Amino acid sequence: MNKKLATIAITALLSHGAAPSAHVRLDSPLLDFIDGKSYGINGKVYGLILQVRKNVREMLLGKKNEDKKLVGLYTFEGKTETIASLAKKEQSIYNSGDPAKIEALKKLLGEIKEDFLEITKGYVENIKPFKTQIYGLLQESCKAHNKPNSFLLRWGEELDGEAGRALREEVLTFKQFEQFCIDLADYLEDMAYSAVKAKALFIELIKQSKEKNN
Amino acid sequence: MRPIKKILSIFFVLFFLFPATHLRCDELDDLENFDFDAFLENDDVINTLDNTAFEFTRTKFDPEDTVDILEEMGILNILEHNLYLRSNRLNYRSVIDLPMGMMDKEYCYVKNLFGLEFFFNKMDRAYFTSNSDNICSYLALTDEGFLDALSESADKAKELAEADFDFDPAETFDLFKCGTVQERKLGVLLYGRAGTKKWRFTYKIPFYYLERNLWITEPEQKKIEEQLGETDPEQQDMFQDQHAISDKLGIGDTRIAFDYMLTNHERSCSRIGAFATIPTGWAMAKGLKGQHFKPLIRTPETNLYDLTGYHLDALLSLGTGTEQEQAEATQILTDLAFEAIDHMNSILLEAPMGNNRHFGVGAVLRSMWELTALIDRPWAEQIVMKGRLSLEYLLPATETRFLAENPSPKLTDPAFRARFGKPATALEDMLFVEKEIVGKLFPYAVECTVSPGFVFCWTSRWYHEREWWGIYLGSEYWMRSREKLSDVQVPKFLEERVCIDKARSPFAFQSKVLGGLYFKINRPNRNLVLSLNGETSTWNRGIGGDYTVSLDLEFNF
Repeated sequence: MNKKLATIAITALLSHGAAPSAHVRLDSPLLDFIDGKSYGINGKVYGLILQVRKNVREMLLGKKNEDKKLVGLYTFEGKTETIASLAKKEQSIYNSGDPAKIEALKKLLGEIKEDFLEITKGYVENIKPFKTQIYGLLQESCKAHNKPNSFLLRWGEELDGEAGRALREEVLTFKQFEQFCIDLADYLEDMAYSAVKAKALFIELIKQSKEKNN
Repeated sequence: MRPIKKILSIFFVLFFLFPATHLRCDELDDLENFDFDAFLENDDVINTLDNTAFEFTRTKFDPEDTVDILEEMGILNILEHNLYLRSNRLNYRSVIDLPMGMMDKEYCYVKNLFGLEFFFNKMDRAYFTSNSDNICSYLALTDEGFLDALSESADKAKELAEADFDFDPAETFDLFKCGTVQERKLGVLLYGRAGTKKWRFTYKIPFYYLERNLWITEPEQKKIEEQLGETDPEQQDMFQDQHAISDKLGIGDTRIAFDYMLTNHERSCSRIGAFATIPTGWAMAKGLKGQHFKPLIRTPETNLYDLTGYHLDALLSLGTGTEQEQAEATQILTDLAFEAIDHMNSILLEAPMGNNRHFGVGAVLRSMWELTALIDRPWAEQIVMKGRLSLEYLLPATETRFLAENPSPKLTDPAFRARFGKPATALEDMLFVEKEIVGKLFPYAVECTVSPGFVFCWTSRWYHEREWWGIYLGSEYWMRSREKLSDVQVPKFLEERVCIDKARSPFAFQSKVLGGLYFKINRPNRNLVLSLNGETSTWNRGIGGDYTVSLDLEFNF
């Protein structure tokens, strides 16, 4: 009992504020400028950021079912999978040398990438006009997470180009795609963490929505 | 386990678990204070994300957004400074005041005279003030305070636009600081004389092409191209013709004079007379190669509302502007810039044909004496000195002058700055900024009575004349008093904001050297004189230095 209580306590301690936060506060003047502005990150844009983050994380790690368990969104060889789980299996599938399996995996990767493009389409359209500025924020986030060679930067460079070209042509493994999704989710989380005023507006939206429903 | 130990363990667990439990509370009011991870996992947040289609659509900035952006960009600090340091017209010399026409080379008496003098006059660098021919004395291109305020805004824009924006106002304006205005006149002066030995009537009237243009030297042009990028020759020509050259063709003022022989000795004579300048100056054609720039009469409605309202986001890349919207926005900004340049051109480049409807009256004293009066030698017989001294008063007339608005006192009022951009006053503030920008870019055009005052001229020439040819050398001093403005119809709202003194053209002075070579074809009781003449200024103030070359045909009969 003692042992159990102590473990819970330490876990709680570590999960609370005393633990070092993984979130990064972006200190770009641009973000400071557009945070909470109607023409910048307002409540709706904040919601859009969180929505994309959530969707990307669900692709990456799975979606919570009614039992609060994470369930993969994709099926491979009759099992539900996530990008993360497929990234783990990927090497062994390639090592097996089974052409049918390898082909099926590649096909699935292609389908997931198209899914990803669909999910992020609205967000990408929204940020296209500020490609240069967004690239600065991406750089800041990657630097803070110590990922100077992240594909996220490459993706940022291509924002105003043909949609998804770089992703389709240059991300060829689940491992690469997993890392990209992690980096993108981190970046979106950094944005959401840093846009304090927009967060307040988003909460206001939730309140209004709840009041309306009641 | 002993009860006390159990209680302590539970307390220990609850102590650390309490905040985590608290983080999962569903109270929306506390959502803002949630730990960020808890916030992301909050049921209300997740439900909203799952059940809402978030979109971002906006087509127009409201005044609050506009003022917010403008304030962020440091617009108030920029507006605190003047753009126009002065707003006077540039001084000019009427063609009939140039030392041309009526060379009067034949110092023996002839009854009548008629001449045609084909001339070209060029002023390389006009003076904007008493002592500067650089445009930075007229516009605040090197004003530290103004540049600092612009630099701060540019830095802000640079921060916001990341790598796309690279504009250093101090560096850019420095490239244009030595810009100036050039003036050219090309035409023919008709002149003549008739009368008796005692009384003479003379006249002259020019017909000419007048051009003024903005100018930067070739090394400066290269420097600008290096810094700002090259433009193709076609674009350059188009800009020059549409926004940098003003030209016209017409006749100038007419000068008529009567003089009377005051003294007449064997080796000298003198004449006294009166003359008048009749304002016949009239442009028959305007904008031949370039343009005729009319001053913009401002109205409260400008296109700035559109610019700051609908297009600012496209310009700053802060919105969802399509390429077409961005092109429209850029066009509006370009149009505004050209309007501002054209308005400046209406002040600087529009020069009158003549004295701008000012009637002039004056007195003249002429003298002529042979050098033998001083040196009794045979060679001195062929050297003659001729002098002309005149003083003219130009009568007042109504003209347009331009008044540059000083910054609004509100801009330095801490209370105004503190409340600037608040939602309640956003529209009012936006209109204020708009008005201030317009005031800064477009000095107010007003009608007023301009009294140019006096024009003094003293010319002396030494002639060496043989039977069929001759040469002459001489000097000239010309000055014009500083103009006075009265009955300035300043709108009430501008009364405390303008300095009329800045709109007055300065005192002007020129000293020149002149010379020529002429040939005579003598016939009984008549001759034809063909001459090549040149003059150039040696010192000038308040007016640019210029030179003239001319070919003169003079018939004495």
